[in-house]
Amino acid sequence: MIYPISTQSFTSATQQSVSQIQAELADYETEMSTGTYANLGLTLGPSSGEDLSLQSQASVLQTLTTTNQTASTRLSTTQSILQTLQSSAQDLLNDLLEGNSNNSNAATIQLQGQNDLQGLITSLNSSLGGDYIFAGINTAVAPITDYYSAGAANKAAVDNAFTAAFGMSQTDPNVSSISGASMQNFLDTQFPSLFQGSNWSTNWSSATNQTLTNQISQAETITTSVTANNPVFQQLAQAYTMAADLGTQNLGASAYQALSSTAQKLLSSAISNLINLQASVGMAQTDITGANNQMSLQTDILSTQIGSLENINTYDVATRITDLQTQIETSYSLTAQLSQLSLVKFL
Amino acid sequence: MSLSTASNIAQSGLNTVSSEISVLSRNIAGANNTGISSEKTANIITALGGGSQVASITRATNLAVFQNLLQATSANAAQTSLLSGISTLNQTIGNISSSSSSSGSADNSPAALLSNFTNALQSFEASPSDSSLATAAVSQASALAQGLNSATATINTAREQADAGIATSVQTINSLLSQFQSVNTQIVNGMATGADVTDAQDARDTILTQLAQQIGISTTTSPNGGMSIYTDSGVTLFQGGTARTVTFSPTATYTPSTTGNAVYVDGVPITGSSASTPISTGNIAGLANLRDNLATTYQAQLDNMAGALIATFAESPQSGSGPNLPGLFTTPGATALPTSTTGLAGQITINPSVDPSQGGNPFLLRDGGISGNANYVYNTTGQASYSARLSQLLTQLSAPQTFAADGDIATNTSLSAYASGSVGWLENQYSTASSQQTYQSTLVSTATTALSNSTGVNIDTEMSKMLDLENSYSATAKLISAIDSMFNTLVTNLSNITVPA
Repeated sequence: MIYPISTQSFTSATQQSVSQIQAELADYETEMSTGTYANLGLTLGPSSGEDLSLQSQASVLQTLTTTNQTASTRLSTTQSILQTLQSSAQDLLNDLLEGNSNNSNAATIQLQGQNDLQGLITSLNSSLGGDYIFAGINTAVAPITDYYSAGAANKAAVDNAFTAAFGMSQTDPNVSSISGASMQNFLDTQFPSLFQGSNWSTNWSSATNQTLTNQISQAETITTSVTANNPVFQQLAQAYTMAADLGTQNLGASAYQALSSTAQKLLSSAISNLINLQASVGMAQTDITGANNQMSLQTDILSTQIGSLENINTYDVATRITDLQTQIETSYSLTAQLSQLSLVKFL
Repeated sequence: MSLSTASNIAQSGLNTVSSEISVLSRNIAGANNTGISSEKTANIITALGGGSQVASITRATNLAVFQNLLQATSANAAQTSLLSGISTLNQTIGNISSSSSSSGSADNSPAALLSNFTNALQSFEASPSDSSLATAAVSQASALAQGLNSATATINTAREQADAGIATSVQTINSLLSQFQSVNTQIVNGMATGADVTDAQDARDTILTQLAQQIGISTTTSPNGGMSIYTDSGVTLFQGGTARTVTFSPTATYTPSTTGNAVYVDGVPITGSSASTPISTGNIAGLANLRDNLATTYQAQLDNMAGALIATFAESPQSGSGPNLPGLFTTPGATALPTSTTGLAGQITINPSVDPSQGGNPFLLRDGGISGNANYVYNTTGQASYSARLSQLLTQLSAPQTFAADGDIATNTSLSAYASGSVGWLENQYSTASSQQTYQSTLVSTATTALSNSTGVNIDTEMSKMLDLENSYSATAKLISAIDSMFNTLVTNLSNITVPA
């Protein structure tokens, strides 16, 4: 015995499948247009957390790459300033060497010393985006006191030391009477201490010894600035001040000789220190480039992982859409035919 | 046997056929009823004297399939209400797609907001003197706090909706039970007197399917046709012709610390932790599960995140000893760290002293002293590029910490991993509920089709029966007219007979 099925289930069978197919079709259409799953949370379920944490890792790398640009700009500015400082120090050294035997070019040397000292101060007071780059972490304040501003503490200290040692000011024409030995003594003892320790931090520099550090990748944190308290700048300041403001043009031959040879020693030491400093800045720049390259690789890997979670297979979806279209068309024609299939029509 | 007996029998045939046609038209009328509408059959017996008569009308039944339908309906209702509740909770996550997060609008999950904030803090740490980056970090912190606030509000709304849904459901159950009581009485009385109770039985089955929507039930039928209803956990809802009262006192406003009331049947709790025999299916079970378990667990996760944020950003005294004070993240008016995490996600806010929009100074994030106490200032010399505090915060933010176990996800992990874990947990609930719901609704549709097929009406069958009945009706009518003509012949012939005198 075959039991008849009820008319209701006979006619509603296609209705249910049609509404289901329509819902699926709408989802697949969204997926085709966006390239990702229609309802990502629903599809990924527990993997949603993984997806989000991959995204957050990728955005951390993105942020670090962006902040590296800031550090990178600062380092390349620093590098070019150091380069300028090195070449002007070299020029002064060359001129000192040329006039080694006599004091005929003392006036030129003094003028050049003044220019170099101003250049050093301007360079160390360079700012980038409102931050003084040689100020350590005290970036809101220009680190070096301008030697040529009125009442400058560093200038006053030099003046006082000179007067205390020789009983006259640097501008006094009698400086020509200063002997080579007493000048050498002054340059070796009282004068260097003006550029060191607490004298430096009181009279010359408001920079901190602590330098800026940047996290350049998830694991690496490096130093990304040079402080004006670096001994190389103290040497340069000392050498330039020597040439600029110890009455150089009026000195006697032996005193000038002492000054010139001390300045030469300081400058050559400063130049080699500058080269070392440039090398370490260059290292930091290389580190950042390396970190950026590595992070860009990581970002690619993360994007692939995120893509493999989120992205649909377009061929697969396209095939499914075609299949569903066929199915829904079949359902429609079936519905039309089934409605004709009733005994009532034939009575 | 006489002609008049034949005529009586033929007449009873006509009666039978017309009652059969009336049953048949009832069947056709109910063929497309969406409720329970089973095929009725008139049972014909041979009457005394050889005629036929309708002894009773019965309906097609299939108890096993019907019980399946009830179970599937309840399970489907539970999953449907759970799913709709989770969809509401899902608003707290938005679209997690990476393509939408780059535009920053759709992805509003706490995890994504935390990631945005961490990135802003990272940028600020790289350039601590930059006031626009400081403001950006503070405004991302504010967005994170607001995200947690609005997520809590969403959870409260979801729980309020569930509570209101339970209240409606309880009213429906009580009204259905009283309808059931009157229909059941009608059936018991009808069966005792032998009346046609098939329509009442259909009505009773329809009420049962409606009841199963609201609460999981099982039924037993007694020999007198009366029925008893029990919840799926065995608590009596209807027995001995009397409906039990289902009670529930709704709670209008929910906060994270609110515990919803249980649903009682005759004073016995059937939902909540106090229930010894809690119901497992039906609309009420789904709503109660959402209100009492799922939403509160999710709330606990958010509260733990808020607690961790407040603790991570707390400031410690820089000299001497003293309590840690709330820093960037705090609760309104707080002068000390919170002692319990309950409801923190709803209260967390950023300290007005760092918020530029409230006249605060965003650089306090770099310098410390957000609480206003000078002993909590980290950047004592006021240096513009002081980054030690910011990098300390970033380190603490990414370091593993211990979370309370009430969040039901990994407890020893970093805050960002906890936040993504929370999203994963919710989406897992969502996809599980969704696939369960799809499965259960397929079961309902299969059970409905099976029941309809075994007890429903097929119009073609009815039509062919009608043809039979038509034929039988015309044959009987023919018979009556034959008997009539035979009587006529007899009467005519009788009048021609001359009675001998």
